[in-house]
Amino acid sequence: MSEVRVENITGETGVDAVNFTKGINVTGVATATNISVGSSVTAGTLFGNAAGVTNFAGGKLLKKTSYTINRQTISASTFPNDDTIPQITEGTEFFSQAYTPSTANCDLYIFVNCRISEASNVGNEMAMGLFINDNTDCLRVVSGYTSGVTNVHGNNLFLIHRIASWGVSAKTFSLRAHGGNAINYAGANGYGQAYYGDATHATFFIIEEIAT
Amino acid sequence: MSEIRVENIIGETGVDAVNFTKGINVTGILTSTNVSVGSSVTAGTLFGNGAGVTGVTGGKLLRKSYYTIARQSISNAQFPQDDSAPQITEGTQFFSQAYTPSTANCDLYITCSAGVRERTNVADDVGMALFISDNTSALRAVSEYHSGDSNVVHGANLTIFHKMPSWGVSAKTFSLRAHKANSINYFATGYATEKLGAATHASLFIIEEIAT
Repeated sequence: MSEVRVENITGETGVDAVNFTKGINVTGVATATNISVGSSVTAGTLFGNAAGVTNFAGGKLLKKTSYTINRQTISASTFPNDDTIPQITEGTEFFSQAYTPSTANCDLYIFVNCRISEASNVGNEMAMGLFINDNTDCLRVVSGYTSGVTNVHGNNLFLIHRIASWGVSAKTFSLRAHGGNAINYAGANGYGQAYYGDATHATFFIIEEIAT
Repeated sequence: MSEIRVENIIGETGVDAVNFTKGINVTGILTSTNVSVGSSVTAGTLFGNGAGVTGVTGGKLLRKSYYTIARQSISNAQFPQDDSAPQITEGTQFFSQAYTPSTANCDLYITCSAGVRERTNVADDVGMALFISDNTSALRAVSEYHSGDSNVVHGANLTIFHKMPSWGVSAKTFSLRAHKANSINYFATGYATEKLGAATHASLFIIEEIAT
């Protein structure tokens, strides 16, 4: 076995790096301040802080953010009862939130749950629509019928929407109600009631960024 | 070009590693049992098992767990009909689950749904609330009114979203408590009944850990 013992090895000019054109096999631990790799690092297990790692593969969750939809009373307004898409001027806005995606390379998945009800006799059906500020048309709507022989006076509505990221700039989402005059009031004793605590009966508007 | 051809290079004492104070350029593959890096690894692509990777940028999904909310009949206790947050002694508990976050550096997103219904004539409105073991007040509540002229609805499918910061790597217990209803995840056909299979009609309690 041939062996060279040396404290330090530099390139032939004394200031350049040594080239290993056939690779290096290290039986012990290879230690360096920084490692820069042109193509890939492959390991049985990766350890360490990955805060600087970007471009996770498509389908991965990049960010999840939540906002609160407060309990509130609103004026009762309606979407037209026809087959046109609700407009951003119709119904009553009860929530808005500016949002800036972290990248253009993702889809936004939006999850909303909310109770739309009547705190007084103002509506026989309830609905909520999701809007974005650069589009007058509603992105998604969900509805429920509250009248008839059963006077339930409101609905718990659940809305899911997917939209491609528009890039790293702000747009504003909003929710608008049809029919009701109470948001996140409790379903109890007939008309919507301010029960169970303001903060407890609030709901969430959730945005997930999924890498594409 | 100067060149040294040698089978093995070790440090000058015969037992220490060789230092490369000017860096190393490897054209081929650097193979090592372990690579330990003081500050950073920069690579075009990282491959391998990331189970040991920590410090992922905020918003990343660290873990997603689910638990089953079984179909069951319960006694019909109620929350007070006022604007106080429901207490952990009120209503009837129908689900509990101990949970230990994997890290303090995350938010917990909780999503759960359940059919909260009357199987006999015990309720004109129903609700459910989320609790945690070290807090007597409900974290979140949702409710529905289903009575009226002919009493034919008899319950509701209720969904809760909740977000809270991780409390660290120790166990606490989440629980769900029902208001007025006397069945959970029963089939909605007039009064709630045991149909469609107990396992099929069970629902889920989901916890997501999102890195912060």
